[in-house]
Amino acid sequence: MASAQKMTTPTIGVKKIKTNDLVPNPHNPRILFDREPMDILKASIKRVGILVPLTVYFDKKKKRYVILDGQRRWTCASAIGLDEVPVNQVDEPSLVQNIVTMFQIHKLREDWELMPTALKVELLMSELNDRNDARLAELTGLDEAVITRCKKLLSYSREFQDRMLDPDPEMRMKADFFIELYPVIHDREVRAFDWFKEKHVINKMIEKYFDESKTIKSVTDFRLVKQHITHAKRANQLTKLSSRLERFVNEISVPISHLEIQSATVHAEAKALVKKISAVEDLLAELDIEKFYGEEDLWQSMMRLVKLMNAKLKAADKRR
Amino acid sequence: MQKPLGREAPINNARYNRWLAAFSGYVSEVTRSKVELWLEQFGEPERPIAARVLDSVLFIGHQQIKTKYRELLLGLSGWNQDAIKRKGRWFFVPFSSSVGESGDSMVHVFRMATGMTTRHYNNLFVHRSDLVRLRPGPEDTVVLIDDFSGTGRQASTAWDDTFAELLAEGPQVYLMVVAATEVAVNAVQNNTEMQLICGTILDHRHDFFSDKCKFFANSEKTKIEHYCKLASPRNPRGSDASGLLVVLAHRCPNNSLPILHTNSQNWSALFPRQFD
Repeated sequence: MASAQKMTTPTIGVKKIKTNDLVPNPHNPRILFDREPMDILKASIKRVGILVPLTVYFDKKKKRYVILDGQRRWTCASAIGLDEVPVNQVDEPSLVQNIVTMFQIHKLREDWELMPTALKVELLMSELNDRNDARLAELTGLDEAVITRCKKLLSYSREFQDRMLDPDPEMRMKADFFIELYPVIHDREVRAFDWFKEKHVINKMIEKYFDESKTIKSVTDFRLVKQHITHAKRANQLTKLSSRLERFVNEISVPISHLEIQSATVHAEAKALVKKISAVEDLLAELDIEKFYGEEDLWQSMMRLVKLMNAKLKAADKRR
Repeated sequence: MQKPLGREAPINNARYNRWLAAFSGYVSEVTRSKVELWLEQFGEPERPIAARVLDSVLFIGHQQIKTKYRELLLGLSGWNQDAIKRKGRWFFVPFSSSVGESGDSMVHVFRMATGMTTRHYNNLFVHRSDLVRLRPGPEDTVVLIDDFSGTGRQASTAWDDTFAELLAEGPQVYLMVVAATEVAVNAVQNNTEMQLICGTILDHRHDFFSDKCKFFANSEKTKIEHYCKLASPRNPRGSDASGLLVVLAHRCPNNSLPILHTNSQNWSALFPRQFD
């Protein structure tokens, strides 16, 4: 595994290069600059020039200088018509060095499409023969969570990855759709259903998402689907869930509520209530009577609780 | 844009037959009753102008699309059907997805047109998401396949957003389309490292509202624009105000006039872009 230190590229020297002879680094062209800071930088360059040289390398194959660091300065210099810019020329980096450098220089922005980044991460994993999230995160400067999200996207077939790379923004699927769908289609029990075919389910979910009936309103709706699956599992209602999920998948107008198995939901709610009551039990067991002896509100509240509990137990015919 | 019949030409059987023959093969069948209903949406005085608009539609049929793809491929330097004689590696990639289709419908047409349908050629046809892994370099060629480019804006944005990064190692990149406007060819040339190659180039004369379009008088253009506004108040001259009268057999580009392709509360299209 290559370390981040080994990625450093040696300096050949500082010199001036014609602004027009430089090209941005294609390994990360998705650099969106805020207009205001760019205006400030432009004004500064007009006043004092470029004080910190750009870092560039010479691409031997294409015979041109490529910017490794300093694209903002270069964009401003081009905009204000500077003929030359100072550069620090370094050795041409290897593919891995180049990608890692780009990751480290340019922080991932929330509004960037994640799929191109995921493909770069895939290339890194392949080149370095390393899939460890923590090490990839350290190397690239991306959060571990982002690496995990990238891996989820890479788990989809090329056909679906392509949907996230569509040139038409209206046709382009958001990475979040596939990330939220991931836990549903990777649920062990769901995958074991005899009707389950991953590609078919994904295609049907895409159809439902875009359909006017809006049975899937937002990508976070998949969390609800997953919740219904979990509840059914806990209540041992998987057979019932299987047929309901199959219908939900195949019929465009069937809403998510169709997945709700009443008994499963009740069971899940009961489990949650038991957990809360246990917490109250623990609190009461540890209650220091002498310490709270004068706290009348506390005792009144406990009496109300006893009364309410007795009423509920009586109504349920559970009183002994 | 085709040269329309004269202003006095009657809307008779012969003219209907001419339209039906010209538009045969559109994905949503064009019938005589559909043409009649379409014409009836215009006021009586405007119908002769609307008829001349239909005369002017440049319809590119399935066979023409295939021929254009075949010719475009043969014109590419370094290409040879025989892998040994080919220069570098070649990859054919769908540029965009198609509505309600698997995303590679134009690539399928391209394969049919060029006779590369057997498994033997499968490794030439790859997904967009394969490109990073395959790392095409300066000796290699990537051909992105699409049907139409109206302004080149989408292609330019797509290059910046995605393709420049997917094709970072500098292969020769072509964007191959059946038809494109001159504006699109220039935009792609100036803003990207792709070269747009197309079967039919549409210059300013193909813009219905351009002064260079001499088949219609300004007063006629104004009358037609009124109906275009009914069909699409937001884009009365078509997407990016392209003002085209072009229809491809599998879909009408949205750069064409909305009276041709937009279905709305106030308008029924003759060449709808979405169909049941």
